[in-house]
Amino acid sequence: MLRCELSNTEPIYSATQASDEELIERCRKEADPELRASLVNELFRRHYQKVSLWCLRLAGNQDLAADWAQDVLLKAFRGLQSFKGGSKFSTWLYTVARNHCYTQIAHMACSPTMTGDAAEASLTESGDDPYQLLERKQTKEYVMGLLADSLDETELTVMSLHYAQGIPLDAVSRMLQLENTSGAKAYIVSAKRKVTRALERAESRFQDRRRREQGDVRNQ
Amino acid sequence: MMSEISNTELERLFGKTDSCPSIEKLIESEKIGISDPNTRSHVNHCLFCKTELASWRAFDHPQATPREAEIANQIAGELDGRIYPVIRGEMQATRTKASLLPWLGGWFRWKRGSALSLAFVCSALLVISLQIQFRHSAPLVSHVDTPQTWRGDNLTIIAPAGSLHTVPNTFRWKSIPNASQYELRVLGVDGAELWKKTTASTDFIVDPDLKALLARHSVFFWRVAGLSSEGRKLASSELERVEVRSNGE
Repeated sequence: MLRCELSNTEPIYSATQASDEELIERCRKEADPELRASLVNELFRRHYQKVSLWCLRLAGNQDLAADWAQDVLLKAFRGLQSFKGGSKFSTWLYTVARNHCYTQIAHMACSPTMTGDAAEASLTESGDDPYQLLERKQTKEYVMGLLADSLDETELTVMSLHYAQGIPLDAVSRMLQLENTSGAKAYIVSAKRKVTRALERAESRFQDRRRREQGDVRNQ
Repeated sequence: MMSEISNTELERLFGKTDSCPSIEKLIESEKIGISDPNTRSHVNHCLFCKTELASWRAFDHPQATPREAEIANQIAGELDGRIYPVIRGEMQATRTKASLLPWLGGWFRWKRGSALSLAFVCSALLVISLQIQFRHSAPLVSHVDTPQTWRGDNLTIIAPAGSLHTVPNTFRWKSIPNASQYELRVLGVDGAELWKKTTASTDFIVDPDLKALLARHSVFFWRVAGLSSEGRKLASSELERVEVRSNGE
């Protein structure tokens, strides 16, 4: 699919123009409120495109994305005093955008939903049996390794965005620009199949080992 | 078996751990290459950190489809009209608050506990009540003969403004009464003054020096102030932002 570099639509800044951090420094020293407002506006304008696209991918529609982008930028403007320069301004703005959008998603009660194949492959919730909890705790490292070994980068990212951040599958598809027909859902289904197979192999190895151990005990 | 792992467990597996660095720290480290071996090892094995980095890359280096780029442009255009008025309004309000509060606060701190504070409040109340009384009883005073004084932001800019494809050839603005000359100032994107000129006309044809200067700045601000014959500022325009986008940019 044809891709557009967003820089096509962004202003190109020549070497004579200030960096984001220099602009912030200049704003802090500027006494004229009108000039200060223009400088702050200039700083944010540079990031309109990125913030807009990010919000669009997460919100899924233009009106909501515009509202989210506005909220992100105003939140950043009002919190600009707290930006101490420990990171690049763009990194700081990303964290503001990320936190705002993820919170909005949570507020919209967009809990991860799965339909069709994904629903069939849905994992059953287990109870709060202390033994199971302890067992799961002990095997967490093992399962983590298993996941990392069994899944590719995209599958891991899709699983993580969906399960850890609670991002809906359609938003994950837009965010990672997954172009296959079913988008992120297909990756979830495929990842679960792979992990199931890996776990079954592990289970089978464990049973074999136990049988061998039991056989050894009987022989003794 | 897979069916023994719940969704909650999956959330826990992919979730943030105590040893995960803050997102800002993680991204900054990634930008310069993670030098700390412990952090490097953690990031290599942490699904949460890997995902955060992937998510940041999607923000920082977006590859948009033509449709996405079109919508993002429309949103950016909307933001242009939504954000600046709020920034401007809040900065103005902060300035008023900042200039009044320390003065009043300082005065009251200085006079705290003294009878003068009380006297000040009483006199202020007395003046206000007298003003209200006189407003209703005093005849209207004519101000026709007093010279007209213009407040700021009353001078209207005509051109250049907004986005242009080439460096502007002329700066133009509307005349104001009593102004004998106009002071034109061009500022860089960082607010630093790049160029200044005083003229009696309501336009200025860009000379080669200024053209060369503007060509080096794809974004600049300009404003013009009307001056009386004694050099007193009568009015000034708003700060106008100009962006020069050459073809293909």
